[in-house]
Parts: sequence; C-alpha cells; structure tokens
Amino acid sequence: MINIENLSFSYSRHTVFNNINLNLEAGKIYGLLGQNGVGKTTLLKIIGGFLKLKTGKCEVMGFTPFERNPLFFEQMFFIPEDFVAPDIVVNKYARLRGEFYPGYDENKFHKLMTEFDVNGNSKFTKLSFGQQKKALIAFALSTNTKLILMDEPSNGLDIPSKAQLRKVIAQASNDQSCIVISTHQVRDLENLIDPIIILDSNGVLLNETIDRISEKLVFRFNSKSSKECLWSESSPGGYVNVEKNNESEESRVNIEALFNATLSNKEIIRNIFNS
Amino acid sequence: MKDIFNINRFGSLLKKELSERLPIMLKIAVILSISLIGFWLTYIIFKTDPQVSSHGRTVFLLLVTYFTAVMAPFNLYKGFNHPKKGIDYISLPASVQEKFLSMLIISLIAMPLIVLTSVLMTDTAIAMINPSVFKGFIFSDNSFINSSTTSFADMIILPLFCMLGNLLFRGNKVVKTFLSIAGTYIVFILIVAFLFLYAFKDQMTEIQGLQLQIKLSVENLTELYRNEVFEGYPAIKITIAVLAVLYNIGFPVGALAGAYYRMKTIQY
Repeated sequence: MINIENLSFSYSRHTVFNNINLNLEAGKIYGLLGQNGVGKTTLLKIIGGFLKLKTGKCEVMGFTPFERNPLFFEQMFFIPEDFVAPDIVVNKYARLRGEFYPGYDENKFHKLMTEFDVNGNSKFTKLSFGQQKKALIAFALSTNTKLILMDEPSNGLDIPSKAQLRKVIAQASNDQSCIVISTHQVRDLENLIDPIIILDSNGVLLNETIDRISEKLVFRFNSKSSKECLWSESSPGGYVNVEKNNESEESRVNIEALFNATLSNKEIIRNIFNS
Repeated sequence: MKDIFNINRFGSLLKKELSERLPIMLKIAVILSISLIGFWLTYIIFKTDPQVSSHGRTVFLLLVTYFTAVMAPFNLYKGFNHPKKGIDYISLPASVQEKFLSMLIISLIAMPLIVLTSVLMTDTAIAMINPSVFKGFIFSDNSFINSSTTSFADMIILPLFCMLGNLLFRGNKVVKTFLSIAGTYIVFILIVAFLFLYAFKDQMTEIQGLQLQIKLSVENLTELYRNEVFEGYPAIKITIAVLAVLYNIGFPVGALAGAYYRMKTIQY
C-alpha cells in the first residue's frame, strides 16, 4: 500500500528525515508515534501528497503522491490535526464533496453523525472544535477510501467521543484499507493501533505488530523498579518495567512504556527486533 | 485521460465551487449595487444637477465590474495557499487542470457577471422608479454597447496578475500583489524608455526631425507597430513588435502559466 525508500526531507536547513524506509500494508491500523518535532505530521503530508520529497521515493497505491493525481485522492483522505472549518452547513459540505469519492456512502455519513451526536444541519463554524473534528471524521470514514491518514484525531475530543472514535475506526478498517494514525494520546487509541511505528529524527526506530512486540519484550507490573530493565516508570501502585522477553512470557503491551523504552535504548531495541 | 480532465468531474467541481462561494458573491454584488446610491450622492455633492446621466452610470458599472474581476481571486480563493485551509481544497479529487479552470471561470467570468447583472438591475430599477434621478437606461447607452478597451490584454492583465499574486503570496496578498505589479510595470516602462531614449536615440532624433507626432505608451504598442513612421526603421519596428507581444501575450500568458504552476506545485 505504502512504500517509502531512502526518504530524506528538510525544511530549509532543518533536517526532518534522513534515509527513512517504511512499508505499510493494507488491512492494518498503524500507530505513528514520535517525539514533538520528529516529523510525524511531515511524514503524513508526504504520504498524502502535500509535501514534495527532497530525495528518496514514496509510492502510495502505485501513485506518486505529490503528482496529485485525482485518482489517488479518490482513494486517500487526510484528517489534519487543526481543521479550519469552512463556512458551510455540514450536510451540504458532505453532499458537495461526496460526489468526488466513488465509494462515498451518504447513509453511513448520517449514521456516523448520529453516533457522534453532531447536528449535520449546523454550519461548521457554529460547532465546537471537537464537534467539527467529529463531523470531519464522519465524512472521512464515509468516503470509504483505501487510505486514511489521521493526524492526532483524538485531540479536542471529550472522553465519550474518544470511545466512539475507537469504535468507528475499528469498524472502518477492512482488508483493503490502511489507516495511519499519528498520535501522542496512545491511551486513547490503545487496543486499536497495530502495528506500532516509532519515529526518530534519524529514521524508523520500530515498525512492529503488537504480537511481535509482546514476543520480544515483556511488560511487567512490579512493586519496585528494576535496574536490569530497558525502561521503568512509576504507575499507580507500582512500576511498569520493560524487559527483553527471554522466557517467552505473555504480557500486555504498554504502548507508552514501549515508546519510552525505545527512545532510551535505540540500539538495543533495534538489535532485539532484528535478531 | 481521466486523471487530466473529466467533464463530469469538472461539472461537479464547478457546481461545488459556485455553491460554496455564492453567499459571498451575492454579498459583494449587493454591496456594490448599494454603492450605486453612494455614487449618486457623490454626484449630487460635486454637481448641482441631481440627475445622473446614463453615461456616468455606465462608467461606474464598468469600473465596478472590472474592480470585481481584479479582486475576485482575493475574495473567493484567499484560503487556497493557507497552510491549513488549503489542504481541504488541494486534496479534493479533481485534477489541477480542472481546479485551475474552475478558479478562472468563477473569478473572471462568474463573479464579474453577477456583479454586472446586480448593479445593472439596480440601476434599471432606480431609473424606472425615479427617472428624475437616473436618466435613461444603461443598456441603451451607446458607451455601454460600444464599451471595449483598446485590447483584450489591457482588460485581462491585471486580473490574471492578481490571480497569480493570490496564489503566490501567503500574507498581505493584496499589497504584495499590487506592489509586484507596479514593480513589473515600472521595469517594463524603463526598458521601453531605455530603448527609445538611448538604444534608438539616433533614429528617434531623425523621426523627431521629420516633425511627426508619436504617442509612446505601453498600452498602444500594437498601434505603434502599425504606425507608418517606423517603416524605414526595421530595428525599431521589430523591437516594438517584441514589446507588443510581451505586453499583450507574454504578460497574460506568463501570469496564467505562473498561476497554474503554483497551483500544481504548492506545498502545505
């Protein structure tokens, strides 16, 4: 679905990526994690065709995104972190734009709007930021595009809406589609995102499924911190320790702890997953 | 072919663009129609006779319509190159060619046409209700029927440059666009002046010696080319031809090509 080879990108003199290689497949919901400024949004924009590559190759569904072929855009939808709402009624926005997406399902849009409890007869500008976001997500999912890119989709959503978001994203995923979610709010999307991609300024630190992560690493909840572990962080009632899974233990992957462990032990993590 | 231009998709795009922009287009049309009253009041202040001739109103109508065409890109597409607002537009599944043509049609044809119709209807209504205020009808005025500028290029250059400027500049679009236009015009004038005052100084001195009247301006380069005065001066004639082509074709086509290229390659 998405093939990125030797991708390098910079803004003026600031290098964002240096030689990134990434392969994303259909039928998955990828979680894209990374520190602030590491280039998550930039990567999504390159995949979406909004930024031009400096060097390297990015191929999405057989298209070069920056060529902005309409047939590519018919199969891709980008939900930005900051959505500047147009001054138009939501239902009218959906009706006018939906014509451009061959897979657009108006009934699905209305159903999602009802589920999100957003009034489609209001203008975007009369809705709160969270409601605007939900309306846009409802439209995005009802286009039934093969690729959906979401930049911090749970930002601005209240707690019930985050649960609704998880549910609708899970329902939207199928064998032909690929969803890439860039997020800091991993707890909002835990149990949904799989595989996990962790970015660094030098490239991809990790691109693994939850199964493989739990095969290679063990996440233990102990009463005290362990000095031998890759990462240890305090948690209510104890510590979450991340260690190499030498004894094939089963454990639930704690994405936040995984993220911190990976950033703190880049080479070790790379060696663990390459072995 | 479907990725370059699809007539059905283009129709949907035009419908969507017009539908989204109609409220602002109508708002501008209403404001300019009401300004006709302001024009009448200004007329009363500076002239003792409160009756406004159809010729004066025709000039007002044509100026207002032209002004609309010039400002339309800024009013209707100002968010196109906004780092956040623009993504919604550029990611719409339509080709750059379709989006570009749609922008041209709406900015340079639809918007001025709406304003022209609105102001004309307002003027006609006032003329019918109170002929003592508005004498005669604009559409029967000779100057409206015969209205045309010296060339199509004169009409189209400024709106096209404004379209380019709107796509090129992210902040202070109007100011930067008009400063750029002024700068370009000044450079062009300087080139023309240099050529005729220095490069062709001897030939121009000869022509002046023949006591022939020549009006030298960038707007009448085509007429200048046709002037028999320069028949014996092929170098000047060729230079005028090149300048005329540059002004009448080069500038409009350059602005169009620049706007298209910007639309195709803009990054967010």
